Amino acid sequence: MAKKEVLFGEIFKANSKKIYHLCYGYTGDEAAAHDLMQETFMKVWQNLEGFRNQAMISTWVYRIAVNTCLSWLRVEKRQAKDPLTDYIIENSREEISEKNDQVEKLYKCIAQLEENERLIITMVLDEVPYPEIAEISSVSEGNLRVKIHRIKHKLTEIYNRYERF
Amino acid sequence: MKDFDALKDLWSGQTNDPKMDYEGVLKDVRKSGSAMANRLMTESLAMLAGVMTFGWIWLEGSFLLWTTHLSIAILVACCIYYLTVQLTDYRRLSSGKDVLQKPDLYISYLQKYQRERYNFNTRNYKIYSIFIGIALALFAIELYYISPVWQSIICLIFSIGWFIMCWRLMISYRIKEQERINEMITKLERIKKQFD
Repeated sequence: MAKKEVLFGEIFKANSKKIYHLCYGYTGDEAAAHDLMQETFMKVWQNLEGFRNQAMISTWVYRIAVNTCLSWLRVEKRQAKDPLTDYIIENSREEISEKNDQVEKLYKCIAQLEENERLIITMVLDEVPYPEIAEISSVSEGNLRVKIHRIKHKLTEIYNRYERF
Repeated sequence: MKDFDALKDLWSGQTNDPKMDYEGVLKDVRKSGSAMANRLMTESLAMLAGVMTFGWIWLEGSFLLWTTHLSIAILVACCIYYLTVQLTDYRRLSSGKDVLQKPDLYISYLQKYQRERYNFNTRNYKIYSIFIGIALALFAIELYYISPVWQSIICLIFSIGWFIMCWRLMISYRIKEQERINEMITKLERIKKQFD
């Protein structure tokens, strides 16, 4: 049991930040991101004994996180893609610092993308290698490169549009 | 105007870190595990109590007609069926094995699961109610022979009232459930297309 806990601790330390970014990018909501991250690591713990090294452990953890984010839709009534209104921007300004304001806005812009685009772009931003992203998101590497190019363009466009406010 | 590299710099400089540690997650794993086990235990015990009550009535009661024996057998079978379905679903959810699949396969699994739950809550529940109704009707035959007429009438009124109430509740539940499931399946199908 102690050995499992040590291993789990290492996995958590190595992956928690990226998984949190993925969940935050998917939901655009800090509290929901925490819930999803917690659920992801609970599933990692429950299935740790069954992990057979067929994949890199980070790929395995990512896959669980992606599926947890997908199943979030089953119970979540609210659409993650809330329009980025003036009201949200105004509130964000009051609540967070100037630097974090831009990051917060970036997360809100990511939440405007299609579901699988959100998942892919957060991994790109976290510099996950392309073969790993392809493996995690069940997309061929050639197709992935095209997708990434399109998503980068789309995200930049959305961000710049809202920065003008 | 920012280009993608500027957004990437912004991302890497963020201070948005998760506000939890692995010990907290482990604590919650244990808590949720016991909550799940407690819920399972309570439901199982309640159903077991039902089965035992019917069993006791069956053994201790001296019934005149074979219809009453059939009635109790149907009620016991209904309890066991309901308990089995609940236990299977809880085990399936708590194991979390499906979450290890590739995302496109996982979406297919979610769609299948939604449809199965929908069938359970509608079609299977209808069959379940019909069997309970048959059991009560069979029981009423013996009641008609051994009880005064007024008792039989009260029992009949109570049974009909109970069925009407369940039926009405089920109609509104089914409409809401159908809307929700349709919405979920639409969403999942839209996501599935993104992964194809």
